[in-house]
Amino acid sequence: MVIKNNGIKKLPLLEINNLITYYGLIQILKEISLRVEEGEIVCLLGSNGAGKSTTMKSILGLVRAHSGEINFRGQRIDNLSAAQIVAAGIATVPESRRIFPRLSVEENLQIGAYIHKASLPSLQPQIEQIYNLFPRLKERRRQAGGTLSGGEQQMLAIGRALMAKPKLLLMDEPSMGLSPALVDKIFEIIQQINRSGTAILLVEQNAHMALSIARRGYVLQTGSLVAHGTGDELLHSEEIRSAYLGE
Amino acid sequence: MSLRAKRSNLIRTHGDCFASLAMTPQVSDENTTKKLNNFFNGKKFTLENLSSIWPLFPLAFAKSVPLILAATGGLYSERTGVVNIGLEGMMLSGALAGIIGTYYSHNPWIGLAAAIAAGIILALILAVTSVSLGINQIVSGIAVNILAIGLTGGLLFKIFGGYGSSPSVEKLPQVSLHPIPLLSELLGNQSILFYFAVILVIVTFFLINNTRLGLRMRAAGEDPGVAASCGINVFRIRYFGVLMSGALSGMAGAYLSLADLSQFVERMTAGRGFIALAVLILGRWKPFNILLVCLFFGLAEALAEFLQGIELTIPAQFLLMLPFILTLFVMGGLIGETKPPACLGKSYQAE
Ligand SMILES: Nc1ncnc2c1ncn2[C@@H]1O[C@H](COP(=O)(O)OP(=O)(O)O)[C@@H](O)[C@H]1O
Ligand SMILES: [Mg+2]
Repeated sequence: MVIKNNGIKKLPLLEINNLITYYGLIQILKEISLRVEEGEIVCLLGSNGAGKSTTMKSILGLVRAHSGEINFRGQRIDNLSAAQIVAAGIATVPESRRIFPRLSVEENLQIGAYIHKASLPSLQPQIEQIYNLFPRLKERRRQAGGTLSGGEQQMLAIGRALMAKPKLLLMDEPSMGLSPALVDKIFEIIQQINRSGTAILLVEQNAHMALSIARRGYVLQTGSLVAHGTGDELLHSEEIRSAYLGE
Repeated sequence: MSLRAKRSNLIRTHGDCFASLAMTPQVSDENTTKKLNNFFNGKKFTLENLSSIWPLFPLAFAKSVPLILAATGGLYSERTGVVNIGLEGMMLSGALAGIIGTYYSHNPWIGLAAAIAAGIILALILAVTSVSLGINQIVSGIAVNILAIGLTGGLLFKIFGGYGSSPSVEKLPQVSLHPIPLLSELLGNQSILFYFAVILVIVTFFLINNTRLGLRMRAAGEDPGVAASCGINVFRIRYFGVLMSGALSGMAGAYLSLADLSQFVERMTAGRGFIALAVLILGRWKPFNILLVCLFFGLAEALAEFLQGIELTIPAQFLLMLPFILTLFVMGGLIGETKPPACLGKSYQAE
């Protein structure tokens, strides 16, 4: 898909073509094709076990694609290592808030910037920016990550991903298990991150909220994409709502 | 003397790892008696001058060196998430390689380099099998130990023609801190490796806690999956950890053969690699804690030799069991709480 913008042909930020991924002998993803444009929020919906996390891991190179193509900023990345992919500009907020529980809050953030090979003291200004976004983290900077509350851990996971200065942020169910107030807060932050120019591929169970902030969405069912449209279209399609969004 | 004869007989008949393990100081008895006589200017040590316990300390420091080197080596590996049961075998190979290198080059420094290389080669086996191929780390480590026992026994026979020990070679230099009065008396003459070990602990502390490399090691040990998603090459950092443990335990072996003794004796490590693993647990994977535990164990070992030196009937073996008893208590949760790296022992495979 090529979009004309100011007369210049613009490639999508992320483009996946016919991605097939296996776990052992079991095929999990069946010819998935999707794209994310610069500055977009795109959400990926689907029930448990549909293959959403597997899609995320395939993009990041944590799971090897069996066949198909993944392009990022015009460069093939499906044969790169995770380290190279992160260095190319993709960061992730993994499923279920996986932070490093025994490392301090600040160390967790430092690891996020690991691929930039900057000395630890030189990361301080960037860490301060994260603290501005999440003041709670600053209060707990010396505390072990594992001592934080669930919401704070999710903020730490997001802060860690932002430390990589990504062009594309993969977020795997960031609102899972959080109180409604915190869910609102997380969605606010997602939009704030997006406004600063970072594209976001968002996996969510909370389809309503996700579609309301996303420009476009895809619906995944047992490894196949079964629907695709703008946030509004998906939100108002009776068929989608009843079949895939569990309403 | 009869006790000593009985014990060496025991080793010959039950010459398996664990029999010799309980009799750690066997190989350096002669050495120690000589040292003790020096301490007392030729006078025999008696209960009356027990108050002059002073000479115990240099011996304790000397005994702690191989443990400090091996346990710190183990720390590098385990902080990245790889259990290194093979420390014992890596030490043993280092001990023999040190002697072989020195024997042919007449230079103990080349022997030391050979010991480090031998440790690294065995560590490479552990790294390839457990890190790259994902084989159970314990199984790989045991294989390394068995390989080392067979290899050192075979090579010893092949090169020096049997008798369970090698000819004597030149030792690594000893250093005394003459200009500093109190410290030099406390330390006595120590091998240069003692000073290296102390510096190693300081450097390791700084490296683990204050550098990018240390952060990367801890991340890989705590959660390799998330570490990978942050762009850390988990395989590479685990190789680094395992190879460092090989280099340092090889050096620990060289200390036994090129600094403590001046020859290789079959199975001379006598379980010190396993004690180093216990030290890691007791020291909670922290460099300075490990140093303290090693000094304590060194003291226990020195005391055991001391008691043998004056032919007391107190079974010195009890003192040598101390490390193991303490470790059991700690692991059983009776003393404090142990918190190993969260993913210690778990292999990581890109899915
Ligand atoms: N490491 C794994 N090994 C084997 N199968 C897996 C693994 N991880 C996930 N799966 C399987 O792949 C399918 C998709 O999982 P996942 O991508 O996690 O789904 P989702 O994130 O949409 O809930 C599920 O059937 C799951 O059981
Ligand atoms: Mg999932």
